Amino acid sequence: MNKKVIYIENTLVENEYAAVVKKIHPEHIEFIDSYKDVLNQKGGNWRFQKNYQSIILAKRRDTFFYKASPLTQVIESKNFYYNTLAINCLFDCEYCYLQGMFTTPHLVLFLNNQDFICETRKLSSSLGEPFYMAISYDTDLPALEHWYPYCSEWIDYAASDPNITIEIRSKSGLKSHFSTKKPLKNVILSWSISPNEILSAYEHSTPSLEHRIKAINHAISQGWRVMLCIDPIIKIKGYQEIYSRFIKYITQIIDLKKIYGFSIGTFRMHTNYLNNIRAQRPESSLLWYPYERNHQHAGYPENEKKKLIQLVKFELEQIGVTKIFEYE
Amino acid sequence: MNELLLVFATIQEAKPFIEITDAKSNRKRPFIHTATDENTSILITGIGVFNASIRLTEYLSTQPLPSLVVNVGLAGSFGLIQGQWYKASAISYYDSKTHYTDIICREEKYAHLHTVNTPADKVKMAENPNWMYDMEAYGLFASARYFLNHHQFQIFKYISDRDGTLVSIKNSLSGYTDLCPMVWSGVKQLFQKIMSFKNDESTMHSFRDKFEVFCTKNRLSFSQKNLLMERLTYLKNLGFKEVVDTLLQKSYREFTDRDRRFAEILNELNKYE
Ligand code: SF4
Repeated sequence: MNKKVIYIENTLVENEYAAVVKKIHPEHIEFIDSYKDVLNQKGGNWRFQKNYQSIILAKRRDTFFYKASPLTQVIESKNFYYNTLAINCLFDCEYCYLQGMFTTPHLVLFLNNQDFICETRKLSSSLGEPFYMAISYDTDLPALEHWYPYCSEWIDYAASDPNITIEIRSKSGLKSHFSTKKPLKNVILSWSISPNEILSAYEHSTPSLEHRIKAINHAISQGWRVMLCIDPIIKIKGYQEIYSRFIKYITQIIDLKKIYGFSIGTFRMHTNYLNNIRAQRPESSLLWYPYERNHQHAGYPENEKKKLIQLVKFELEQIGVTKIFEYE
Repeated sequence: MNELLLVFATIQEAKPFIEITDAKSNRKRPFIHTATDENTSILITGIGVFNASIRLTEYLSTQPLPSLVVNVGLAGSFGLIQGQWYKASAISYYDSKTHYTDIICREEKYAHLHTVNTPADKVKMAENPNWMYDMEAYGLFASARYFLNHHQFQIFKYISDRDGTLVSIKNSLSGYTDLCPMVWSGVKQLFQKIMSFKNDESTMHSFRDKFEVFCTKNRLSFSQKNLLMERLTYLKNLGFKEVVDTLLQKSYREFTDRDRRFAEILNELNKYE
């Protein structure tokens, strides 16, 4: 990460960014008209730039939330939304679509979080019924909490709006975003977990499984609703053995009776993103797998997908898990 | 093999580097110097954005592409510390789109660099006191971007003056010369960084070259080529590099029908998946 130079949108006034700048402590600030000037700059090498990822402080002007796309999970609510409070991620998962979505890996932090909350409040009153909002989208939000208290502000908001259920998904081992708050029924803390074989091969620079499990157990002990995501399930050599051993392992160290649910899915990606990422990661066995392409989405062929899902589902059911949300 | 290209506007700016690298000028093209290790070249473009752009474009389109182009030279600034070196964090040129450089040096100081057509005086520089002003960088960037990745073009500027006068600039030259060995070691470090990244890429290039020859030799169609690229890369990445290399040396021309030929190739690959 490069903290020597950061970029700040001209539309932000000093008191909106001063606190964050103080924490990052850059040597030089480049003022820019729009975060897109840096984020979407062409001609760079994504992988090279990832080693020197920069931070862009910005203000979102519109589109404070999106309705879910066909690739997102179907949770219990028919009203599924997500927002992008930040763009790009500190971690470097090989299967992450973000690598193909933006031309640079630079991290954008939208500092007008309260505008997002305000617009969501309006959405809530216009819907007048329960809705689900995934707030750690296009990023890993808890990993950014030390720069801006996104999760904290959203948890506070959720406390005041019974219609909303927020999901904060992470691979981080941090607890600070929830541990000082009172657990809420309408806040789901979810963690993506994978067998160590997958984690070490494909989830580069992410916290270890042990770290994540510590955070998970801490959240459970405090009474939070916790969801575990085994997603994407990846077909690697010996995957049957690897996933069943993994599920047995988590049974031993997490009290699964207290888990709100599991969400599972196999690797899938928009074909345009996959093409972009393949060019950047020519050495990846995961990305160069001969996936089936259907309606602009690449994924395992139907029979293989079923096999992978069935395997994980079966193992989970064996240990008594009933709430399994499956990617459609 | 000219892997590193140092670009200067004037011979005065280039001189310390010509000495450090013991570079000799090209008899037919005196604005190009080649270092004795033959790894480094020095290009002197002349003053101004157009000279810079034309000379660099000409160089990059006629010589083997370098892995790194570094522009070193003087710049004015009203507010930045005189006698200090800065790297460009952004390069702007009037209303043209600003280019944001890849920030890859942890040791150097960074500042915004604005390229102007006529020397910037005190008043002009005071408009943005923390900017650097030069007369070539944007032209160089405009050329380099067609040939190289962003990180392969870097800029080091020495703050020579705060008023743009010839006297101030001349007076700064001895301070500039004294610090050039330090900049040279910074450039070499940068070069190492770029090269270690480039080495990863060159393995892929050699695979691509062999693949292209194989497809041409076996007259595969566009879609067959794409499919095969996917399968071979996957196999190679799974650790079957030797299998892929062996296959790429084979010829399947004994099968006259192209689809048959392709089916045979896939058959061969299926054994390993
Ligand atoms: S943690 Fe999530 S957002 Fe971050 S790189 Fe991994 S998959 Fe992408």
